Amino acid sequence: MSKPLHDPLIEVKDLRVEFDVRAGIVKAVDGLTLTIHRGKTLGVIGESGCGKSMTARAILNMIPKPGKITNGEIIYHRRMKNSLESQVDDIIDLTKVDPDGKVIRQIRGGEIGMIFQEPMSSLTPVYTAGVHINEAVSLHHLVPLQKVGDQIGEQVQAHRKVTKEESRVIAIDMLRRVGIPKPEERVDNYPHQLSGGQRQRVMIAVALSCEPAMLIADEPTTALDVSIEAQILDIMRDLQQSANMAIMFITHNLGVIASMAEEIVVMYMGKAVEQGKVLEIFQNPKHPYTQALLRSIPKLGKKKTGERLASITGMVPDPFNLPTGCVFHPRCPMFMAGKCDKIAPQWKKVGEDHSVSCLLYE
Amino acid sequence: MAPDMQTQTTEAKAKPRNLLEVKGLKKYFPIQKGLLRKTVGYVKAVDDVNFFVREGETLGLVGESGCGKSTAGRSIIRLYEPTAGDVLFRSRHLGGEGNGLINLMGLPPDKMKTIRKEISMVFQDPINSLNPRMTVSDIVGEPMFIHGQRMGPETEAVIVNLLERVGLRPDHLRRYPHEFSGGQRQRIGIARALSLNPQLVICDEPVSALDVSIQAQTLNLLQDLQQDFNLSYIFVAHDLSVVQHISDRVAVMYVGKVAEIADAEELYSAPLHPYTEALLSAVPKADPLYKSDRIVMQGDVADPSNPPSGCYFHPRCRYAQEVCKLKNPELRELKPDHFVACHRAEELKLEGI
Repeated sequence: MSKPLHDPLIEVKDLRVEFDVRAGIVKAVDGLTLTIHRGKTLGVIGESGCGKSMTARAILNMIPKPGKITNGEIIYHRRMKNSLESQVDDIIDLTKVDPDGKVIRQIRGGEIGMIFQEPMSSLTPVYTAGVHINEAVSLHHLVPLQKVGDQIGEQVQAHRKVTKEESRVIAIDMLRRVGIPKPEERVDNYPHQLSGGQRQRVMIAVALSCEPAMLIADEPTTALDVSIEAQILDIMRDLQQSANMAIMFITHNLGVIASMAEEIVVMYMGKAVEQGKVLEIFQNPKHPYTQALLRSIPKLGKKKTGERLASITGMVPDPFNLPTGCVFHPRCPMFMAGKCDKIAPQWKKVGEDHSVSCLLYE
Repeated sequence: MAPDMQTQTTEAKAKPRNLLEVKGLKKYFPIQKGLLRKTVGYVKAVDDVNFFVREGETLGLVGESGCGKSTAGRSIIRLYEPTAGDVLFRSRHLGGEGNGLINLMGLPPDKMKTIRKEISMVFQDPINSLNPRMTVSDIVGEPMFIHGQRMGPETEAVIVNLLERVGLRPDHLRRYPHEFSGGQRQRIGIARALSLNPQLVICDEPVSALDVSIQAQTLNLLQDLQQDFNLSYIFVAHDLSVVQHISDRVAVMYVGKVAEIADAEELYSAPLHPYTEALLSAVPKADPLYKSDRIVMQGDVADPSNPPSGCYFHPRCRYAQEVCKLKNPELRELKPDHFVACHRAEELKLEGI
């Protein structure tokens, strides 16, 4: 598929995640290939159950049981934070590392941060906001530095324990950066004392406190109001620019993705069906599923009375009993009998940085 | 604004009659503290709200979370007993005196039960609003059973008809809610709401938990049903584009008060309240080329138990002046059918979409 043009950070190649349950095998992710570049935002869109979140969890090697990565590799180009630019990146296949081992625990949260959808259930109710951030800092901020043996000054710093006062200053500073008013007071608040938007900002502060190379944002604003959502998107954009951080942005909100992502992957039933630059996807969508998704959202400001939305007919198929050929064919308005239900589509390049998996273009 | 919101049977010929009028609705939740549960204050979830719904129209209620839009919806059918105010409703079964509107406040329970046939609700969460131990037939038929219809082949035929109307199959009748997807469950909830042939359906965030494609299906279904059954909707939601799509008129709420009510098109293209303007500018547009000149609202939504003085929006408003800190603005009709609660509504030139 698409060749890495920039500086690749994560390369997912033919990833398969399967859940072996009593009723059969569910293919949560089915042969997904994508690349995330340093400093860029990749948007992943699709309906619930299409495997967006499982892909994110696979990258962090935390697939819940009984799920398993059965095929493919996730290449992580690891660059030590304090190393010199010239140093060659470590290449790690994240599917091969021990999910409970030391390496993944440094990467998880330290080098790849994650923001979950539900800010209430992802924060511990018995810890204050400050404790949450300090936990992340003390787990990661200092540990990766220990491994870099090239600069003694930093070594000394790395081994030095951060005092209570210092860690409080770090936490307050993080809260200020994510735009929480009165961070000196908020740092001692428990999650239930914060509003939904503030909790989500604490989550972001925790994820960003270790200055990760990549941030996985799994529906970070879905539970929030538009005004708070806009603030949080601004914060993420600012921090991305200042830290050259890559973002994998998972959402089903097409408005959010249009303003955030440079590149988009559209997923359906564990497979990517279309991939391309954000402009291409929005102005020139090729796959009937992408077209239908874009048509089904109500457009703000263009109201015709009695106008109906174009909806996708039918339902997401039963995961135990996937359709043959192209998985989208039972719902596809462009269905070609004898073709779509027999042949599985291959990737086809339809433009510069724009690929689609559909028999219409083969 | 009470006088000009009276029933407009004579003046406005083109416009249908008012089905529902909400006047001065208040719902305060007490904050209790200490061993003796002493009331130390009130959360003013809904604080003096006025609006009306015409026959056959959809009124959208929007606002940020915690602004009281759901509480307002629930107070109308007294799921929450309102603290004060009047809810006037044109009932088919109970005649009111004068202009035919009956006040639901203080109505005895047996009469309220009759009213509940005519006003029903669709809830946000299609998982928790259906009893997992009841079959679809039981769920959709329960309102009829409660209102005295015997369960039998005839009732079942009605249920099957309802299921088909909302796009489910007759063989779904004996299944349980967990066997359905989110969109299908919401259809079951809609079928239940329609089972007693209501006039008004209060939809409390009916599509917020659904995927975009399923959301589109559900919105289309609601529009079809509105035409077929001549329903009126109160559509509570926080998604401004969904509300614009489905509503004839839209009310914007902020911290328990109505900031602005107008025709949907007018509200979105020419808002008169700074809060509406700021909300509209914050909506992410599904267009990568769109350059957002978003208005940043400072701070968070005001605390409804301890609201700011004057206009509740003034600490976040970029047009705020001295008067906004001192006086609470009244909701007034600035243009025909366009109500706004802002001291500076006349002079401000606000931008819509």
